[in-house]
Parts: sequence; C-alpha cells; structure tokens
Amino acid sequence: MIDESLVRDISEAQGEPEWMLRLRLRALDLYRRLPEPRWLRGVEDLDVEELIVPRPEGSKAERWEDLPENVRRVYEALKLPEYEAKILAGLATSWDADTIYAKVLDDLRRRGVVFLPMDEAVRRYPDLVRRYFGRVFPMAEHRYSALHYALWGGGVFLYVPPGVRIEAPIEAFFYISTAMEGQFEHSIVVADKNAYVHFIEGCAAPVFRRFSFHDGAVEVYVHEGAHVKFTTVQNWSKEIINFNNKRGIVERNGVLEWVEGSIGARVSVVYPSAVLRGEGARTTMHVFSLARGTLKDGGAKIFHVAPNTRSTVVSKGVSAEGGVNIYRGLVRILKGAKNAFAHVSCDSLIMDGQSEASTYPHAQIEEETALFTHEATTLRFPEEALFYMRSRGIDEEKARALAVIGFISDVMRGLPFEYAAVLRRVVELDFGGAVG
Amino acid sequence: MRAEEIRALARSILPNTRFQPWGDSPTIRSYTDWRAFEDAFVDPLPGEASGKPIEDVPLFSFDVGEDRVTATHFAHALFFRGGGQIVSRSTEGYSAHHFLVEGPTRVVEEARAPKSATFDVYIDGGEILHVVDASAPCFSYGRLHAAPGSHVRIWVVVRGGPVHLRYRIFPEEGADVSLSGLSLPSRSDVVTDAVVASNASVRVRYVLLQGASGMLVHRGVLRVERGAEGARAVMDSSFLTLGGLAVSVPQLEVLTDAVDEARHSARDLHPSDEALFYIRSRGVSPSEALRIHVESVAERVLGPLWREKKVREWITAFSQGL
Repeated sequence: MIDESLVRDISEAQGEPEWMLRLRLRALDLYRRLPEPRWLRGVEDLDVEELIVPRPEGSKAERWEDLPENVRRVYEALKLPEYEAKILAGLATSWDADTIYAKVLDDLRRRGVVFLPMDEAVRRYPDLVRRYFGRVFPMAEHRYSALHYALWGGGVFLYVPPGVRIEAPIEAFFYISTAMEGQFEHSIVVADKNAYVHFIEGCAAPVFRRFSFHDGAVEVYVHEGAHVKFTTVQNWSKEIINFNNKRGIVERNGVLEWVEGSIGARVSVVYPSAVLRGEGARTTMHVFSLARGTLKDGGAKIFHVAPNTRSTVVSKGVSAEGGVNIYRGLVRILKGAKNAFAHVSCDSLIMDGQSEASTYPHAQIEEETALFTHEATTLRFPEEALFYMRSRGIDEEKARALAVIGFISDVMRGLPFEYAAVLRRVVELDFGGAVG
Repeated sequence: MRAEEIRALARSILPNTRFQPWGDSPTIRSYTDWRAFEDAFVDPLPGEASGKPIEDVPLFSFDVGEDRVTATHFAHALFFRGGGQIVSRSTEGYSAHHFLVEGPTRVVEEARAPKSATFDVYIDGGEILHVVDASAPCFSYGRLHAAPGSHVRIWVVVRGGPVHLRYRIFPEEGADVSLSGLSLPSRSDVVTDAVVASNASVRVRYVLLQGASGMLVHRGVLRVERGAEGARAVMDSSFLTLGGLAVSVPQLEVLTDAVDEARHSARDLHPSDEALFYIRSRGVSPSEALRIHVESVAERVLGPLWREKKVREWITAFSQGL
C-alpha cells in the first residue's frame, strides 16, 4: 500500500536528510490529489496499489566479485563487465531499488568527477544534490511524476566539474528482477561550465508472467558552454510498463543531445524534453521506437526560452504485429526567444494491417522572429524494396529486417558502435525472425 | 427526429456531459475556454437565420452529448433547412441555430452577441464557402458528408473571437475533399478532423495570421480507418505571428498499412531569405515585401473567398500592420 509509512520507511532505509523526506511527503500528497491522465492508453490494468515497492537495502559492491553470484551472472550475460573494461569511463548498475555498483575511472575521480548511487550522493553531497534534485523535472507535472518523487530509490548522480571532458561514455544500467514490482530510480547528470560527458542509460528485465512498473526520472543540467550526450537504450522485457520522466535544462551556449531508443516494454510512455534557457543553447533529439505487438507512446518536448536557441527532433517509429506507435511532441517558443529555430521530423512505418501509427505534434509559437518547421509521414512497408532485395537473393525475413534498419538508420548514427550492433541484432530478431 | 426531441435529449444529458473527452495532458489540452462559452450561452433569443424552419429533422448526424457546449447548443437550437446561401447572426442575445444543408452553400456567420451554430452538410460535389466574423463567443460545428466519388472544396475564413470552429469531414469511398482556411486575429480555435474511407482523399491546408496578442489555434486529426485501402490524408498548417500565440497541431492516426499517402506538416510563414532578397532587390522595403508575401499566401488559401470585398479588407488591414 502506498502511504506515508511506506514513504518514511524508504527515506529511513536510505538514511536521508530531513529535506528529502519533506520532498517525498509533498510528492505523496500531490500524487493523491492529481487526476489520473485520461489520454493514456494501454495502462487500464495498472493498479499501483497492487505493486511491491522494494525497500532499498543499501548494499554496495566495490568489485564485480563482491556481488551475489546470481546478480553477477545476469550482468555478465549482459556483457556489462566487458563493456566497462573496453569502452566505458564509468559504470553503475541497479538491481530493483538499489544501485549496487558504481565506479568511475580513478583519473576522473581525482579531477573532481562525482559518480555515485543517488542515495549515497544525497548523504555525502547534500548541498550539491539539492541544487538539482527535482529542479529540472517538476514533481507536479503529472500524477506519476509525483508518485516517482514519493517513492524514488536507486539511480545515480553524476557531476562533471567545469572544463572536464570525459571522452569515453559513462553508463547506468537498471534491472527489475521480479514481477509486480515498482521501480522508481532517479538519476541526475550535471555538466558544469564547458564540461563534456556522454551518459548511456540501459535497462533489462527477465520475462515475467505478470507486469512490473518502471517509473523513473532523469534530470540533466547543462551549464554554460557544456555538452551532454544522453543515450537511452530501453530494452525491458515485454511485461514491463515503462514510464520515464526525462528533462534537461540547457544554459547559454550549452548543448544537449538526446538519443532515446525504445525497443522493449509492453507499454512505454517517454517524452525526453529540453528547456533551452540560455542564449545560444541547442538540443537535438533522436527518438526511435519499435512497437512489435506493444504500445509505444513517445516523443519529445522542447521549450525555447532564450534568443538564438536551436532544436532539432527526428523521430522514427515502427509498428508491427498489432503494435501501436504514438508520437506526442511539443515545441514551445516563448516571446523573447528571438531568432529561435526549431525543426521536427517524425516518420512512422507500418508493417502490417493490424498495426497503428499516430502523431500528435503541438507547436506553440509566440515569437515573431522564430523559425519553425514540422513534417511527418506515415509509410506502409515498402514492398518494392522487399521485391528488389529478394530479387538479389536476400530472403524475405532478412530483407524485412534490413528495411527496418534502413528506416531507423538516421537515429542509429547517434549510438556508440557496440550499442548500435546490439540494436541491429534486436531488429534482426524482432522483425526478421531468427537470422543466422 | 423531431426538433423538440433533440432539445429534450440535450437538456436531459447536459448535467452529466463533460466539456471535452480529452484533456489534462500538457500536450493534449483544451485551447478553448469552454466555461466562458457555456456561461455566455444562456437566455436564448431567435437571432437571425436564413433558411426554412423545420420541426422534423430528416437527416441528423450529430451526437448531442459529444461535449458539454454541443449539448448546450442543442438544448436551445432552432432548426432550419438551407442551401445556396445561409446567414446565421446574433445581435442582442445568445442564439442557437442548426442547419440541414444539402448541396453547395455559402455560409455567413456573424456573432455580435454569443451564438452557436451547427451544420449537417450532405453534398455530392461543389463548394462550401464559410465566413465567420465574431466579436462575441461563437461556437460553430459542421459535419460534412461527401458522397462516394464526389469532389468537394471547403473554403473558410475566421476573424475575431473567441471562436471555436470545428469541422468533421466524412468522405465516403472515392470522395475527394479539400479544406482550405485562414484565421485572422485574435482568438480562435479551429479544429479540422476527418475520417478517411477507402480510396478517399482529404487535404487540409490552414493558415493562421496572428497579431500582437491573443491565441490562434489550428488542430485536427486525420484518421485513416482500419481496412481503408488507397486512402490519402494530408494536413498542412502554417502561421505567422506578430507576438500573439499561434498554435498548430496537425495530427494523423493511421490504422492500416494500405494507405497511399499520409502526412502532415507545420511551419511558420516567413518568406525565405532568397525570396526576400529578390523582392528587396527590386526596390521594395522589407515590410512591403512581407505584406506582398502574406497577401499572396492569403489569396492562394482563400480561393473564391479572396474575391469577397470584406474578406480582402480584413487581409489588407492585417498586412498593413506588418
């Protein structure tokens, strides 16, 4: 049952300061008062009160060998230790409500980079965390963001000091281990003045007989002249209902690049958003979602607040086997955002007669010097391309997978090689059957 | 159906009807202040309506409980049969008119006092010209049924406000319908929806010319139903604002993989740098160049309405403020 005693239990288990408990209780109150969103599809059987909300246990490991064997085996199967050794500058892994492993290169730690499980960061750097926690994504945005703030557990805090460039990516990986579980991890990425970081967020869960609910949040703060690249490869199993509340604030001449890949989950509702608050701030959002018998409600939201800000959104959705892909987007250019430029492009590919694609883009413009363009197309599967490939000896299943890969190739370019290879393999398996 | 039965039905369901079936999302929200409309829709007077009053309504495709303002309208509506030319005018108090329209028609709505009007249009080809001029709350809702294989053109211009103008278009198999419209300052919410059948085509092109304040909205959903083969659905929305809020929400719902064309776009109407340079190189000032550009866009969008003196005066008044 979601009530005050549960919230107090979680807060106490994480040894939180008083301000965090007050924030949680305020969020719980909001959750009770905010209405159930009427526009959401596919979550009719979601009863939040039914969920198990695991209490954080607080156990942390310094080395892979220190993790319980069953946990370590899962991570090894997902190649996380291999990626950490080969391509990552830091890695954190979460198991249900706990971030149990978080490590960053020693050199970066010496240069002032803070990369910690969120609960530990709240205890060790309360003033730093408090500057950002809940300041980017407001808890009152909707009912499930309020629920998230009341129950959050796990997640990471990354702070990159001024002028520090982290050339290799840092990854946080989230895992849900049981059915009927609620996971509410909260992550914050801060790039201080002229810093650079590429942050990758990944997730997985085994196949369950009933659903689990993921209601996470990501807050990104890009200070003046800083550059953050944020990549998500969401590959939950097909029983997960996935909500994720993601927003970044970009200061003067800052850059926020967002790649949001939605592969798994039964229902996924995610709209990464950016507030371009400083003059010359820029953002690009590349969103792709694969709905094979699932429902993907995604998109992007951009708020142009300052002059000379620029945004580009490219979205690609594929629907197959009764899958539903929804693009829901917003571009808001406020008065005073002189010479702002925004371009949105969203394309949908429908693979069969049972599937659906919808696009709901909102443009709200009140600055006369702004430039805005939006274009969207819904396509049927290109039978001509299929015929062409088959005539060259490529079997039908492989040809279908190739067509899907070609369709989303624009947004795959933003992924590191290893992750693009995994995505390609998933598309081959999902849309082309087993390919040798 | 008897007119009194429709009014009685609307009155009975009104208390349990919501303002709109969607809402409470930052992106799927209401752009019309429904409460203000409902508050204005009281103590009805007949107003002025052309057409033959009818008590038996042989064709009626509306859901009177679709939303609260529609129900309020039908609770008070007077019913008419019209065609060719329709005038619906309110001058002193709230008026509510419903028109059964068969065939090409020119509709003129003037709201000097609160008014609501609904149009049940059955057409097998030709044009609908629709002019809305409002200085009081004006709710206007047309449902257009295009016969199989027909070619229908709808031309719309909206000025003033607050206006909520809604078109629901139902082209039957093989019908080809286009809607082309323009809103002038300062507060209107225009909704152009269509449900597209097999081999049917719907094209919507809408322009918002916004002044220094207020809110102009164009939105709409083109829905291609499951099983509809060879359908075409295109929506283009464009706008120019002098500082007021302009909102564009062109939406698509495609439930089939057999669609021939489904796309939408939205953009601001600023002329390209090349076009501006070309005009300026011929000795024309930047503001004059913009005026020429806006008037040429309006001419294209308004079609036969551009020939109407009053409409051209509205456009000229706007473009002179650029």
